[in-house]
Amino acid sequence: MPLLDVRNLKKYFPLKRGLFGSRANFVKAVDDVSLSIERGETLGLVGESGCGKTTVGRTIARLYDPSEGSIRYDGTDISHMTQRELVPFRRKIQMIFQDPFSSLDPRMTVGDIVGEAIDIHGLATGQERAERIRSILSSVGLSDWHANRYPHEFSGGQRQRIGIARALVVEPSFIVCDEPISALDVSIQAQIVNMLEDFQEKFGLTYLFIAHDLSMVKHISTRIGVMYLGSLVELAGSNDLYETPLHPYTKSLLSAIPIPDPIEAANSRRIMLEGEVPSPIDTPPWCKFVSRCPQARSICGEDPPEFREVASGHFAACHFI
Amino acid sequence: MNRGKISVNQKNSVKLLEISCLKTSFFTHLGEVKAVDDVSICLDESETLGIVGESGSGKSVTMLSVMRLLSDNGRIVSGAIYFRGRDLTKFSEGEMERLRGKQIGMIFQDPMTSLNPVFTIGNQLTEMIVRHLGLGKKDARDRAVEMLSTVMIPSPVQRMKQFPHELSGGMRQRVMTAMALCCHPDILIADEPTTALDVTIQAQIIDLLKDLKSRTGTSVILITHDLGVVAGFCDKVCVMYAGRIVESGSSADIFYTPRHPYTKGLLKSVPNPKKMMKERLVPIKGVPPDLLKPPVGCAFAPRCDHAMKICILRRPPLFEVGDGHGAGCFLNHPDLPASA
Ligand SMILES: Nc1ncnc2c1ncn2[C@@H]1O[C@H](COP(=O)(O)OP(=O)(O)OP(=O)(O)O)[C@@H](O)[C@H]1O
Ligand SMILES: Nc1ncnc2c1ncn2[C@@H]1O[C@H](COP(=O)(O)OP(=O)(O)OP(=O)(O)O)[C@@H](O)[C@H]1O
Ligand code: SF4
Ligand SMILES: [Mg+2]
Ligand SMILES: [Mg+2]
Repeated sequence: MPLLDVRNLKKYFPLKRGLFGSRANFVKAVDDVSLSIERGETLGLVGESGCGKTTVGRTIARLYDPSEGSIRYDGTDISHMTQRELVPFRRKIQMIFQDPFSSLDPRMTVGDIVGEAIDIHGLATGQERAERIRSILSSVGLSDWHANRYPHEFSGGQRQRIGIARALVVEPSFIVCDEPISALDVSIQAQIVNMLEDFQEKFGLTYLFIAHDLSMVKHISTRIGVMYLGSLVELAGSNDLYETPLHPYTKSLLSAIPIPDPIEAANSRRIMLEGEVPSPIDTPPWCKFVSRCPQARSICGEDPPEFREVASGHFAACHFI
Repeated sequence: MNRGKISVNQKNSVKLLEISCLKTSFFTHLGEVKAVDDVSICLDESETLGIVGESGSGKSVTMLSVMRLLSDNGRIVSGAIYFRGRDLTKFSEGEMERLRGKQIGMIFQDPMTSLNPVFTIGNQLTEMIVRHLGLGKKDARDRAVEMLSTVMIPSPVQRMKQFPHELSGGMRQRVMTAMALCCHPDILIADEPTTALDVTIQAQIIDLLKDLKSRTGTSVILITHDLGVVAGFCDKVCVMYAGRIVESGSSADIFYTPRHPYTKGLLKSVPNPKKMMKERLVPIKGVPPDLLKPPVGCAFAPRCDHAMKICILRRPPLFEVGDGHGAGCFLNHPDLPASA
């Protein structure tokens, strides 16, 4: 049994102020996503900015109520639980937030922020509490002297490490990592990724890892899912996805990876995505990628392609695979 | 791309921007945090300068000093910032106000604190365009919608009515970019403008910056952690560590012949996606120094495999190691025999 099993998840946000009285009354942030994550696995999630990755993560962590679909955690359906029923799951499922600036309380010191997480779940007091704070701060690369400072005294990257410490200190079993490293320099990225891998090995942690840096996603993930406009368009083992991408969107994504080498960068070719960027407010009932797809033909604008297993463990949604 | 052009023979010409021996500190209850500690940077017309380096090394604070937008406890302690020959540190607040946005635009690293949460995106964009470009309300709105579609935000008309928290992280970042691009500044300072973007949109935003540069001659200072973006976009690169510039040179210098151990460590930390077998990443060991008590010698010495006695005792100057290529590391001392 997978640790996490998500079926047909949808999350629609109502659009207020509909001046034009059109039928487009919702932002379809997540529109029918199914995925499962095995214990100890890392599932990478990539996709265009605004395609719904954060919303998937936040809904799984039950910070949002799903509009439709089910979320099973360790066999238990948590998708419709009340806040009270969710309490035992809150510690097990943690989230590292994308925005290190607004996710930390500016009036609390770093020690208090991490300490609060310990207190909420009643994990330790006194000497042991202090020791836990000290040890988690040092494992994310912050020193003792950081504990008495306030978030605004830190750089973006340092703040992100505070968020990571806060998530790890309660010893969760599943963590939604929403772009945990994009604000960090590459050396600290490597430190944090190594650290996440060590914690995974030691405590059998399971991760949903959302990121834009495809090299890093490939490095850390067992499998990778690619999202486009609220839905998954491809899902495969990470080497498999990298070596044999099938969906046209995945291909364009891989071709746009910036190369840290000035000459290679000048000579590289990327698949340009032209055409209208579609909107999650008005999604078409056919293939959502059709307006920008370099391979589109007439059927693409008529029927939605099915998300199906095209090779063992390799799923994709395109009429021409 | 004109890679690696550094003007050497322009003794008397006025630089577009010249930051000279800048020191900026924050005064906290624990003492003085020396966030920027003697930084000098030069920028010519139509040039793109990349700034990379450790998180917390003072990249943002250097640029916030240029904009004179430091938080209340922050102060430029010494040094000068010449914009077309005039020292910005001596400007009155009113003069700075007129300069900001129009002549020097900045895309801030932190969209949530620079966008006002209680006003819609449309409100904020329109208000800014009215203020800076003097357009009427109606024209300003149209211009705002146009800017949103330039930065590839779908359904711009509907998006105008949304509040910042209703946008995705990458969309907020692009709203910031739209705001900065509106006014065609002489210098655009972009602080991590693409961290929250997927690689295809990132490439398009970078194209937008390239296009702006070639159309209007805007110079760009790009702060980023993404070495791939630097390689593809920047003429010159500065590498910062603990409030100081430890290496500077052309993109080619930095990527092909790095001369500072920190720069080398950074380049080695990037995973190679071509590897099928998973290998452990190689970060630089140790942690950065406390800026409340910065080391007297080389700030990198405690983490450096090559540290010598002198590194702990004395602060290395920026040694010239090539034409326009400098490295602040004693391994490049001309008297050191094996400094190749
Ligand atoms: N609270 C909200 N209210 C209304 N719309 C929202 C809200 N949160 C997200 N959305 C919308 O849902 C869509 C998906 O947003 P989401 O933040 O999940 O994207 P993302 O894939 O994480 O993007 P990014 O990579 O830019 O962070 C966007 O169109 C966004 O505007
Ligand atoms: N208001 C403040 N009070 C005290 N210290 C501060 C303040 N703002 C910044 N600092 C400190 O100044 C140093 C430089 O910060 P800065 O934001 O310039 O880093 P950065 O290089 O931009 O890092 P990142 O890549 O993580 O954004 C950091 O060590 C930070 O802790
Ligand atoms: S189904 Fe058609 S439009 Fe959709 S991705 Fe495949 S080829 Fe492109
Ligand atoms: Mg997001
Ligand atoms: Mg910064």
